[in-house]
Amino acid sequence: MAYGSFVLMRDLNFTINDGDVFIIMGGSGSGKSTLLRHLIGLNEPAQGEIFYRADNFTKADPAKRQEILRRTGVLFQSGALWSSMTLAENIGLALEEYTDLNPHEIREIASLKLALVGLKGFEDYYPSEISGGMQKRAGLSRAMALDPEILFSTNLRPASIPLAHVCWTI
Amino acid sequence: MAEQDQISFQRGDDTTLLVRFSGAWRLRGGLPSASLVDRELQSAAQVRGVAFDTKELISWDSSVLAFLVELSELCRQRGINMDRAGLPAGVRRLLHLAEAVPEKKRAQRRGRSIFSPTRGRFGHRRRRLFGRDAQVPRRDERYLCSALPHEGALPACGSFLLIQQCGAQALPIVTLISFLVGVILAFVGAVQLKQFGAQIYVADLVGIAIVREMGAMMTGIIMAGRTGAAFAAQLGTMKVTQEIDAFTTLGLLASGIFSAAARDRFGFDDASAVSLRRFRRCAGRGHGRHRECSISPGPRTFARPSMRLGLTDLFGGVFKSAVYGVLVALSGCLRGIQCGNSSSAVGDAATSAVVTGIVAIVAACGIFAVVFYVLGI
Repeated sequence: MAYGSFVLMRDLNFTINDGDVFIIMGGSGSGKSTLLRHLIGLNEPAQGEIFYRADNFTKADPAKRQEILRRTGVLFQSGALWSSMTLAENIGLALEEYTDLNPHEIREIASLKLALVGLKGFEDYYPSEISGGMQKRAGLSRAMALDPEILFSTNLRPASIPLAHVCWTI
Repeated sequence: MAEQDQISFQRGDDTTLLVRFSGAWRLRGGLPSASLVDRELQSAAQVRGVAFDTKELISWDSSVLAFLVELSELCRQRGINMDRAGLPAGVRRLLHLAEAVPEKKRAQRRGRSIFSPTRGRFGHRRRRLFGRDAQVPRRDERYLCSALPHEGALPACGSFLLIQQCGAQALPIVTLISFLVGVILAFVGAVQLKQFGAQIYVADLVGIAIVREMGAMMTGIIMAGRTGAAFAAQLGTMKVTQEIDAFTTLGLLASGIFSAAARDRFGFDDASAVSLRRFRRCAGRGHGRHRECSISPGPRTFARPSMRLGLTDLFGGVFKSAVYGVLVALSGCLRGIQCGNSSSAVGDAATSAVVTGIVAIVAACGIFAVVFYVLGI
């Protein structure tokens, strides 16, 4: 991984198996988030390749990349909820895009996902109307909206997310 | 898809209904409704309990959970016991988790604008118009998604809301500027033309200038300052808060989103620019005539039969306004996407969007002037 001529990390080589909980730890500024951004395609590696099962993510065309990314969920550090949508809409967008569910079913699933993180009843709230911790939990719900095979998180166990909810994601 | 044949029912004894799950339950295909169970319960009124058999359940995801949550609510309403022992341990644990925190009663929200997309007077009207469950777009992020180049086209109500936000809500400032520009043109024109005894042409001066050039250009500049900056700031903020990253990782390519968004912008900018320009043109012309009369209230002014204003001028102005709308949209979206990852970068992006938009509009205006001159328009 590199930013221009500045090489951040080299010789990275690891495999994550089904069911693994893979934690990357390091000091501030060591490149944890940058590594994550490479894994989910937000940054491109200077050299090397990333594989999801047999699929070469790095060399995949855009359509294939989208297909791979649909199997993943990402919980961003700040939640990254779309601020002009309600929590239910944040969760429902992925379902709307990638499933054949009708609006009622999407709402139902969104409510379920919110209930799993202790936010039942907050479906119609906007992100700005809830606390930071609740936003992170809602972000977790959104990341899990499509029941992804892989969940990426930049902060696995923020203090605001109860341990039970983290276990659910694992 | 979880089809009906993936659920079967069996009466375990006189008072228990056994719900048997089979096959693979996947969210992507759809959800079975708990009404299936409801019908079974209605057909056997003496049922006092529901049990589950999941031995033939191959795989499951949230679709099973959603079904069971709905069924649980149904059982609670009917006073029927739901025996979860037959469910997979993971399902039981998740159900317990979903029910662990009671539902929060919605707090009353106050102080909503009547222009609120979902609430307030306009929001309720639109809800009534498009239906309660209509997926009404909300502001730009929703439109970015709705405008994606797939089967989900931008809904008409979304276009309406965009026009409202960027068009109608800009009318006061556009009107004010129109009034002032009209007054300035009339005064300056009248004073200069009076030296040649040609005050009668003040109306032509103001009318043609407004319709051909100033109307479109001033509206474009105002839109660059108001709407273009808003686009850039909103997109920049979305970038800072990783909302754009979230779009990307969801599998919605950012490039596609924004190119579609740009097209979307062009559309409503054209429309709003045209409508605003018309409004402004009328205001400008009106004030121009009025001021001309006040300076030189001679009978010749009123005797002027008509201005030399033709449809060519009108359509030329409309065409220019459309181009200016495109430029405003482009500059706003471009600078927003190019925004850095800090709050100051958002400010820079907004500033840059305004400057870029205005420069582009003025440059285009100059090019148009040359081209129209060459073409004799």
